[in-house]
Amino acid sequence: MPFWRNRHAVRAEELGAFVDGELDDIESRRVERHVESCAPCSEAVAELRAVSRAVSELPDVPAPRSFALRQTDVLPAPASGGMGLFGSLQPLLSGVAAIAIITFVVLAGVDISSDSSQDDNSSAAVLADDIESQQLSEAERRGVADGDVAPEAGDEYAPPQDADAFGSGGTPQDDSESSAGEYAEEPVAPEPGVSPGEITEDPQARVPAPGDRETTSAAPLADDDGDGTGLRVAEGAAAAVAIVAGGSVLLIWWRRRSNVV
Amino acid sequence: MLRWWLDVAGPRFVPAYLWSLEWRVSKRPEVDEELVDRVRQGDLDAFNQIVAIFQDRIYNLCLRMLGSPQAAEDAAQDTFVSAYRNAGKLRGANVRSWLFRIASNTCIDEVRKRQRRPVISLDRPSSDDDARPVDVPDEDPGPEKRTLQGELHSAVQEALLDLPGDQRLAVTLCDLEGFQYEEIADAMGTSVGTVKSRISRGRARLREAIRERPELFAQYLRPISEGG
Repeated sequence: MPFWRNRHAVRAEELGAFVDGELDDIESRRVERHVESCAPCSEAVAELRAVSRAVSELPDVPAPRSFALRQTDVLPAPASGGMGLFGSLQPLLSGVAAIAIITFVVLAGVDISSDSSQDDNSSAAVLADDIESQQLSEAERRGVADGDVAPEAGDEYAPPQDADAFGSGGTPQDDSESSAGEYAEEPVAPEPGVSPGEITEDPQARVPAPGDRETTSAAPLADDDGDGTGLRVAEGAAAAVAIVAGGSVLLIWWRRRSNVV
Repeated sequence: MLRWWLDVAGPRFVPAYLWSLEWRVSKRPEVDEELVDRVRQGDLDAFNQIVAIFQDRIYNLCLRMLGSPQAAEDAAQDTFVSAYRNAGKLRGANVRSWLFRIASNTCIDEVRKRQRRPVISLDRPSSDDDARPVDVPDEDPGPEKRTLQGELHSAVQEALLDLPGDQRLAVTLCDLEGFQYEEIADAMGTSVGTVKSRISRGRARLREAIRERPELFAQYLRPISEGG
């Protein structure tokens, strides 16, 4: 441990600053008085001055050549490589990216809130509508069944014959799950000759009933009132613009950074 | 007048603080503000006038920091190229401080790079090698004195190179370039207190080198001890 540390009122940094003339008058006088009366500190000051002079008297070496710059030395950096057009467009692209990101966030927020509000509004009426819709669909089913085909047994529902046949690979199902309450979820039977993957709507099989919640919610995009699809298209466009513009900005920033010496 | 007296009398007979003051002032070339304005606007000819003024000082700083003429040459060139590219950011007229800040960063980056990936310098002499490419002999000191001074400079340079990069830079800027603590803090991007601490720790290690070779440093110790 150096001799003056923790034992003197003068710290090593102060001795160095004293040697360099960096203390103010009061501090300088205080250190000077201490150094005069303290042999180790006096020796330390002498050695610090010796070090300082030894370093300062290292010979000056003239530069081996001129470091004057030529145009070719400085051409790449101000031009920022070969990205002049994109480099000048960086502020514009940054703005576009920011606006697109904000637009996307706002549209997504509107979309989510509208979905949730619809859910909230409809959920209150769901329970009340369930009973009514079940009654209506049951009455409707009975009306259809009375006309053509008799029901198989009891309350079991037998779909209309023309809507009961599936395509070439399909077989009529006597599904025990197809109870009266789940009629609306029954798959729509395709017309004869239609491939299994294509299921077209049968106006007879899907008679819209007032309050038929399942029928309206089954096709959210096709039966949209306009703002749902528009929102999704706008969201997609905003996201695409944000990705392209943001990516361009990042690419420009990275290339500039790699060019900096 | 003061300079003439110093030239005639020499540092040996001049109080240390006066010598230090004059020596510090002598290493501060003045730069015309109009020239600085032209540099700021990207005028390459004006910038090359600045280069001509400072290239020796910048090269010496790089040389003392890196210990190799080739590395110092590269660092000095990088410093000036970087300075020109960032000339638009030059605020005020203190070109010297600005250039030394860039040079300091360049040297510290190089020192850190070497610490991460140590390289064997062909320029730096090994312990049993007599080649000292950094030293330049005095004009006519006589063979014996030349040998002694060469040894002394080599010992100082090696002791400097053994310091950590930040201490080496602080000591070099203070003792070799005559910067004040505030200027060093500005160049190194740190506080004056940190500069004080770095200089103090750096010199403490250099003192150890002096104590190992007292015969070399006797010429510095004797007059200072006698003169206070």
